[in-house]
Amino acid sequence: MTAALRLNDVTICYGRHVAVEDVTWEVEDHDFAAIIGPNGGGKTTLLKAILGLLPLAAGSIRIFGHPPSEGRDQIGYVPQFHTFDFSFPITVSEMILQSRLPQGRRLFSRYSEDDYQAMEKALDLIGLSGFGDHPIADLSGGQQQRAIIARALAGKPRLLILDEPTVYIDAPAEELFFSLIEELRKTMAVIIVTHDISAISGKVNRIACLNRRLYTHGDATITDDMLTSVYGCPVDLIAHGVPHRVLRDHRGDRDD
Amino acid sequence: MIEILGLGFFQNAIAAGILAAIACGIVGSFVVVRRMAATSGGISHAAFGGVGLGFFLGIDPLIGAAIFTIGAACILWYLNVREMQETDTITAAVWAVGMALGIIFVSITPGYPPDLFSYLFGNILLVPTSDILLMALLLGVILAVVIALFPRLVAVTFDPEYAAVMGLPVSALTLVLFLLIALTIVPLISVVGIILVIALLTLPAATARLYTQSLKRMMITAVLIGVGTVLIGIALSYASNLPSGATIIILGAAIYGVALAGRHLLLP
Repeated sequence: MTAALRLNDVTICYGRHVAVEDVTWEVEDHDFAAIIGPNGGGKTTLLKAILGLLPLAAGSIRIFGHPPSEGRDQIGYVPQFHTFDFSFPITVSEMILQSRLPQGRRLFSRYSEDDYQAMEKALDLIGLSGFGDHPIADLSGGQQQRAIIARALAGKPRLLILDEPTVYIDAPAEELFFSLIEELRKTMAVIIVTHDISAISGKVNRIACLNRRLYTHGDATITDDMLTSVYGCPVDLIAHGVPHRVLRDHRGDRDD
Repeated sequence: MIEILGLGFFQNAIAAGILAAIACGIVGSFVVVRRMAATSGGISHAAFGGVGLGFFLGIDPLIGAAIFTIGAACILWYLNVREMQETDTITAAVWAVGMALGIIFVSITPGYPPDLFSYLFGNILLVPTSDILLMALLLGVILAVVIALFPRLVAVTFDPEYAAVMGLPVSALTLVLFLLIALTIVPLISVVGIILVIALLTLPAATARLYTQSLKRMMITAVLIGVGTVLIGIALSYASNLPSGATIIILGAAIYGVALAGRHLLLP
């Protein structure tokens, strides 16, 4: 089976500055994967390259076996929340239908019955049924965030990528969010990208740390070594409200 | 007041006002939500270069203006989107260079200096029938482009990065938006003049935005507000013998002010 995402020796440069170097990683279908790393560590850069918005200096990216320019049709992308202008005059359904605008659609064409069905289904899945005609400005912050996820889902993706998804989600909503992702994993692979280590759920089955280079440990634990190499100094490993421990004990910690 | 409606120049004024207001409501809505008012100001002032060229070559100054607004839109798009230059810097430069070219063309045109005042501040009562036909043609092009590309233009205006991920040609669609502004400005020059254009482009759309929650409804509302503003403005300027362009703009600002105050009362 082809991997949902395969990165092979990916290097990305801005002029002479190497932002991402020699990254090799693989995410299988139905994985719940996480890329963590400090701000400025190249997360956004790597994400843009996966989405086909930035050229590679070296290496290759494959999405279900296809280069980003073709494979991005399979990706559902949930951008960072703060990049949105929620005062924009647009209804929830109009925003969600944007994911049904594939290239090559004819001029003057209207959305089809299929498009509307995909939109309604995404709203239903995300718990916003009946909100289609509401302007996005009238939704609460949490509802706006879910509406953006619904937009990605309406495109029927096989790989869902969420950029800093938990920033605006409070603790009770976080549990709902992670159970939604569990549900989505039945039909797609999910990758979350975040600088917030405590936002990683125990459900994550694949973790990589990115700070120019990518550090992986093979399974879903973050080790002291990984964090030290990524963040440059030992980080206090405290996991808030995480159902399973994803963070290993500090090396040299006293036994209690 | 009623018998004046039978006069040709007055009929032309009303036709020009309605055509300009329709283009304004549609394209002005994009300008307001995408925050392109300064870009629009740059394009409209660059049109003065075209007016000067029109006098120099002895052709319709409005055709010269159309050439210059389209040229200015292409230059601004190229510098902004392709060369990543700062929007406000290049807008200011295109703005002033267009005006400078206009002055130079006028100064090297032999004979008496032409009436620049009506191009700078508009005189809707002087619009010839040939310009009405040009306006109708431009409006037809604007409507066709907006209807053909509407969902794409909304996607690019709302969230350009997502539109790029969707594989939409974001840079080309941005050029389309700039060109739509250029085509809208040409008929506006006869109505309110180069200097006052930005206000008629933005005020009806800004007023409509206060009461609408989707871009389509915002455009329809802005068209109605714009047509009303222009027609009442023409009547007021005729009745009080005040300049038409300035009267229309002040009326538009007053309507916006009342709408803003009204919203506080209606939607607490």
